[in-house]
Amino acid sequence: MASSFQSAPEPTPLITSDLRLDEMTRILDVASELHSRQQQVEQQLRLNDVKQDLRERLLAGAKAAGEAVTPQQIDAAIEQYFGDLHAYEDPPNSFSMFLANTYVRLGLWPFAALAIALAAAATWCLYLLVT
Amino acid sequence: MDSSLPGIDLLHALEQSVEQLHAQLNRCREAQDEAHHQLDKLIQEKIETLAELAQHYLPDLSRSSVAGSFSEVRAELREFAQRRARRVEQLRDDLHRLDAQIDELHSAVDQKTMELDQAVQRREQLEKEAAAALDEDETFRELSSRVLTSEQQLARFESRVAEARREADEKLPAYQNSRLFMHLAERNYGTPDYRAGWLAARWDRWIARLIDYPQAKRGYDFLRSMPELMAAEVERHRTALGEAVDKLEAIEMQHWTRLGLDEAIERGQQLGDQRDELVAQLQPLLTRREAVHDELAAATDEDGTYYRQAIDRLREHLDSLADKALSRTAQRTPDETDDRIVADVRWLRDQIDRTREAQQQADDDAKQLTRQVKEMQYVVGRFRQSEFDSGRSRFAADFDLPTHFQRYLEGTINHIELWREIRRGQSFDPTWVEKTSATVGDALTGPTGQAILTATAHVVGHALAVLVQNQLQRRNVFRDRPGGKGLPKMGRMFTRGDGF
Repeated sequence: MASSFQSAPEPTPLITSDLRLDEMTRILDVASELHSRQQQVEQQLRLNDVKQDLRERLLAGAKAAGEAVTPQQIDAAIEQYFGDLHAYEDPPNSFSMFLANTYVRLGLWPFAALAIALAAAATWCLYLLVT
Repeated sequence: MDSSLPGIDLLHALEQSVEQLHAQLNRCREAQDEAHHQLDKLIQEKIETLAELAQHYLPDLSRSSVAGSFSEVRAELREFAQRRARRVEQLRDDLHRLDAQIDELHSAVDQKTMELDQAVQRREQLEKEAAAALDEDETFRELSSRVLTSEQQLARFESRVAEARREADEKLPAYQNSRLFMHLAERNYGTPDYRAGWLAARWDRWIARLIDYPQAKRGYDFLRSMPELMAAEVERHRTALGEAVDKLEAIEMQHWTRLGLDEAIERGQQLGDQRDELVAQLQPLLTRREAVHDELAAATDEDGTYYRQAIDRLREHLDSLADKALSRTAQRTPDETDDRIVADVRWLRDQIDRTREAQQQADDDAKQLTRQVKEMQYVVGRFRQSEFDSGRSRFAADFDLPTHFQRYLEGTINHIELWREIRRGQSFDPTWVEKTSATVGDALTGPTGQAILTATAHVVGHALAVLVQNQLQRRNVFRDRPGGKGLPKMGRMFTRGDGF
């Protein structure tokens, strides 16, 4: 008899075409992401065509603007642009960089110690002033 | 008009040279045997004469005691002569048996060579017909053009993937060496997985602004993932190209089957395997024959040494006896009989010396001829092994084998240099496919199955000929891939060499 009172396992929801709007949106997002990635891959594979297209447009633009730019200069500029693309370099040295590097290397402890030292110094100065 | 010399003619000329050397060697061996026989005879005579002399001068020695004093040496000499004869006979029997076996195998190889030449001719004929049929096949023409375009595109894509990988290798270290960037990247900053306390989160936000983290992260992700994504896409293109090539091959196979080219190729490859097998069987026999030649030469050497020792011993023994006898005789009255016997002994000694010289000369000649026969057999063996006797093998019209051979006989060049000269003068006629696809380049070395490539190049024009080369290489790669199907092995000649 006890078994009849046992709760039946939760039925696995059937996957049907009747999806909720948020689920459909999510799937569409994934599809769109895949599509975008595919386009990006295709674009990267055909980068030489992209560069050629860019070169022609830049030459046409320069001609229309009456700028004296040679095709070699355009090529060099394009190569430099794509050469620098996705390249990374840390910002130049500064006090901010020093602080950031100290935090990354040592965590918050140096700053906490400094704060405590400053607080102690301030308290000591206050005591001296009061006495 | 083609003025070059067929390889088979050169083989016959070489074989004739070997036969001439062989004939000379046989004559020389006869002279050698004659000299040995003569020497044996003279020594026996000398023994008899000396025995007579000893008996004449030493009356105290009975006939039996004289015979006894020589019996040891005589028996030794006789035994040696018999042993030598048996050994030489046995070695010569071995040599004849080996020669017979080698000749039999040579005949079998020559037979296979002839059959293979016919098979090559048939293959070439069928390849021409297959290429013509493919040229007329509209589907094949269209698919070929598509395959070649895809091939061209694939080559560009592969080059781009390599470039992207190189770029990533160059640029990624700057990210990985930046403590600030890696601090944020390792904590998954900017993603739902980012976990940090309030104060640390404020610091991280400040650092992210300082280094423009979102922009840098995009670059980092791009460099890490894009080359692999591109490679996966290229692989997809390659698979599609492989399938198109399979279709192309299926069309080709239809024509091959209809014309019987596949059977002709299979038959040719069977013949080639059989010839390779026969050539492989020849090698140990040739090695064995060389060993027997060496043994025979060593036996002759040994003969000479033994003879010299035995005769010296005999001379020492008998001369001392004769001297003793002569000194005693000096004290007695002169006798005409002893003069005659002594003259006979001297005459025999001279004869023996002369015969020994002749024997030595015959031995030296036999040794040299044996070496030359052995070396020339090596050259002939290499000639067959290298398939220079095939129907496609040619020698320049000015290739002067007799002069090279003469220089070898004179000792100006050795057999290795002679073989080198032969190899230098030899070339194979290009196969029909190689002739037709001359612009395709050296990569098309094997004719089997390359009719398709020639036809393809023909269909799409020679401007894309270089791409055909790439296609050939790819097709072999496709063929090796799991589940790859298709025609008999590409680029495979009928034999392991280049002759068929």
